Amino acid sequence: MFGLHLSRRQVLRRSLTGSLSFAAAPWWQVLLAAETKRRQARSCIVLFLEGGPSHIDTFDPKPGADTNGPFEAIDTKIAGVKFSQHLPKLAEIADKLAIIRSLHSPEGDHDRAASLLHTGYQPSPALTYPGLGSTLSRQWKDEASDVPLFVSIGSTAGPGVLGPQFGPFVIQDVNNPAAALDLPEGFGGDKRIERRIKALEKFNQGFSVLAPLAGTEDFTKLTQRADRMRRSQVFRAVDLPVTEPQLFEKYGGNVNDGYLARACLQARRFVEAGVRFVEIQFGGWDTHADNFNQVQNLSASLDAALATLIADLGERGLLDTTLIACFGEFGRTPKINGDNGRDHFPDVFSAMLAGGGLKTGQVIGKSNDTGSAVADHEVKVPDLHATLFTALGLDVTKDQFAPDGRLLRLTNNGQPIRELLA
Amino acid sequence: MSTTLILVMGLLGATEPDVARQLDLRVSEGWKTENIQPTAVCDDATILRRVWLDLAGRVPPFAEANKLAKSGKPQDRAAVIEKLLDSPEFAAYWSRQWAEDLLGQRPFDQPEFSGRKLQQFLRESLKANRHYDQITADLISAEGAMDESGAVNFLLRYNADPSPLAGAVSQKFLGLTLQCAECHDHPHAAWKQSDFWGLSAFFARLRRMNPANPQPDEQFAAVLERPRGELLVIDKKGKPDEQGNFPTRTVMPQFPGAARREIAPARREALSAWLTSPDNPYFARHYVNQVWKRLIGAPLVLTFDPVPASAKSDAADNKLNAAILEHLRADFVASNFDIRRLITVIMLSDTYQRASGSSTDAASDQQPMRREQGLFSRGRARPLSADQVHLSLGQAFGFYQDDGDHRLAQLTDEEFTYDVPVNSFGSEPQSLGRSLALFNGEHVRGAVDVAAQSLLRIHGDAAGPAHIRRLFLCLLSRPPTDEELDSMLDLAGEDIPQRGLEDATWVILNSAEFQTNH
Repeated sequence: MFGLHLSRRQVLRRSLTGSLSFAAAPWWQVLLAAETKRRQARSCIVLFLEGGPSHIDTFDPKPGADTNGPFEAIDTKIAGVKFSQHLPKLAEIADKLAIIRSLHSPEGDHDRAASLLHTGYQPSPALTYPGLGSTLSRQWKDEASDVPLFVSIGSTAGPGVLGPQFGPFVIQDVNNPAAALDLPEGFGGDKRIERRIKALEKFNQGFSVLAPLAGTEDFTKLTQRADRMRRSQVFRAVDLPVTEPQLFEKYGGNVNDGYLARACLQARRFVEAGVRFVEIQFGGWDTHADNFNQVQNLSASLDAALATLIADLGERGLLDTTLIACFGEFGRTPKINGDNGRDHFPDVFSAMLAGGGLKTGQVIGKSNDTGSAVADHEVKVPDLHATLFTALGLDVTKDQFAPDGRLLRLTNNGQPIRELLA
Repeated sequence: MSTTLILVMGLLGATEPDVARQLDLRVSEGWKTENIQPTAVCDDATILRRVWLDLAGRVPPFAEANKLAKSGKPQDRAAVIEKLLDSPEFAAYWSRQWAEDLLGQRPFDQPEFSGRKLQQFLRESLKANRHYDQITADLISAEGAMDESGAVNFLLRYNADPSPLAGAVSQKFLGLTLQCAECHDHPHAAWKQSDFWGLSAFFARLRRMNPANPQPDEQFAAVLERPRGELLVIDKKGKPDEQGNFPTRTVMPQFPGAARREIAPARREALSAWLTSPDNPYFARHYVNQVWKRLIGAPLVLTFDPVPASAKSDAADNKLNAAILEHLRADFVASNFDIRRLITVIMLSDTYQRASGSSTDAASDQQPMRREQGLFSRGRARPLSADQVHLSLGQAFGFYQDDGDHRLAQLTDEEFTYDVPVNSFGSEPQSLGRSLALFNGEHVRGAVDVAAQSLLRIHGDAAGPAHIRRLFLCLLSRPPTDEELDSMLDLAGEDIPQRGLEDATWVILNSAEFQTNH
């Protein structure tokens, strides 16, 4: 199971926990077991707003409050719920969104907070926790497909303790996702490559070192995967905005530098091709100065790309099976500083979810009148992760073990948000 | 001689081999209760490659591997280590890694600081075998312009700003995560906000200077220390004024975890003295732990933060590792923080030299093997970094991808402007990205081409055993077995000699054996 070797003690512990949780099965296990009308999400796209977006200037405006700043709040498809004026397209499809307005985290430093939002654990020098994509890759079997399970457009959290085979394939340049795949001139044809790989497999067998971080099998597997990816057309096909020029424009191809439009269109194509976890890094939200101009600009890209991605997946019948999550590492201070900026603020911030069979058209939790604290239904980062895992059909209460044998649950005691899943 | 006798002989006047033997004895204590059989110390060729990769960041040159293969005499391992520690390659490679650690990023030049100048300072310090306490004191007390003082670039990297510097100093020199206490008392360690701000205050009088009218493309910054001025922090416990602004409060320097006391006017000298004192509970231990991790592949202690007793696990292992750490710390302090001696002691030990293969028929069951590795009864194969792959290709074939990069590859000069190793091979070893780069990257394509050409030039234009033998010695530091020779000749014979040897080179470069320091 999961390519793990379990000691007898661990197997015993597992089965014990299994029977215990059966005895007192919590509601979400009942839900999973019954496999109700809800269709289970198969893939996940995370849009990471790197830098920490201002919650007040996006999904949690405070019209009338001193802390609101110059943006107007506009009505959305959810009665009584307003977004910033710069997210009109998302407001228009708010019935397909679920907004969490009561996230709360203890981390106010970029690196530590980004790590928490990616792994669900506060960073520890004792253990490098795996990111969401790696944790999921380990749960999903790699069916020897041509595409990796986990693609990241821009950097992301690595596999940490799980080991490199669960790491992402990172696309550094969104304009050339196949950059690493093309054969250099004079490399030779498939016959020659097959010869090389066969000789390599044989040579690796002779190397008797069998260390956890350097199993010979892993190296052979990595080369075989590299070869499959190289031969696949997927990475060459994902970046052809010309094949859908009007759609590309709708994604926001002409807004700002078109990065996010390109990345989101690629994400949809990756999901269609069988990639199960796509992360998109979308930075620029660290607005210590000139917050409002910057957020307005960033919002234009975000609004077009996200709204079109949701509609596009919907038209292709993929929205129910594709979970979309959008968040940054924290929110920003309600207080506007002397540079017309806002500073790091983890006390309360927002996240946006869509698709994946979630119950949308609702807002979870509340911040107070100034946006400075949670007023209702505090959601911790592990709760957010537990919700994603559960929507993707995993049982977060089950004990899981890292390859080195230590207990490593999917989340740090996260509780799925019931209202979104029921 | 009995174990106890050797252990009580103490460290006074002990030679490096003595201390290494004592280290081995301590390590073997851990195996008794579990009846663990260690692997044998590995053969000369493996040690030669291991020591070169660890100290010089590259495989040994063909000439040395060839001499060893031909000699039939046991190699003087101590002499190999000593010679390498004295080489410019060691100073260059270790300074590169050290600069990267201190900066938290690759040591390139940025507008705010010069990574190259910092590396140059570290390189010259290592070359002169300056001791760890002296180098640290220079970094902490540096002053001046970024292009004159190499050391000042450490301060500039953290903006010469008290709180980032407190975080960096606690992390880099003490192995502590004090920076978590910047905003609140540490969530899972005993640190208080006052510890963090007390450490910050040592840097309160630093000022970062920038030119008033910078020339286009001019990079310039400097650090000065003013004779007065105190650190002011916002006091959230105070009473806010009418606009809701909290009052500020003055913070005086204070050593973390220590009682408040008067600090000498030369604050940074006082901080250096406290850091590098033999009594500092973290300074020497942290460095020993780092070097151990670099050479053995896993740290002895995961964190030096005082954690609640309830969070500790695996008490027996912790005790064993703590004893190993203490043994090395005591010798390191007794030698006045001699970096080369610490490295020599570890490398001379059987613990460092153990084979990484399996000792018993444990190949089918990795769980016990991990346990044995935790107890240091066998070596740990470590995947090569991008720098190691890059330098090894240069060593083996004289191929560095970029002509202008020869000097970088020598690592005796830092006149490089972009990151060829990471651009060519990706930062993550043993990943899909690395495998793709080795599969079809331009860099590997070029290296394979050059390798085949030079093999044909040296050994004649029909691919034969001599070609394959040299290829093995260049990349793996050992001659091929008969079986390997046969299958490589078969592979190379499938095509014209140039292309056939390209194929053979490609296979070795993509192999697990080449990609690990085993």
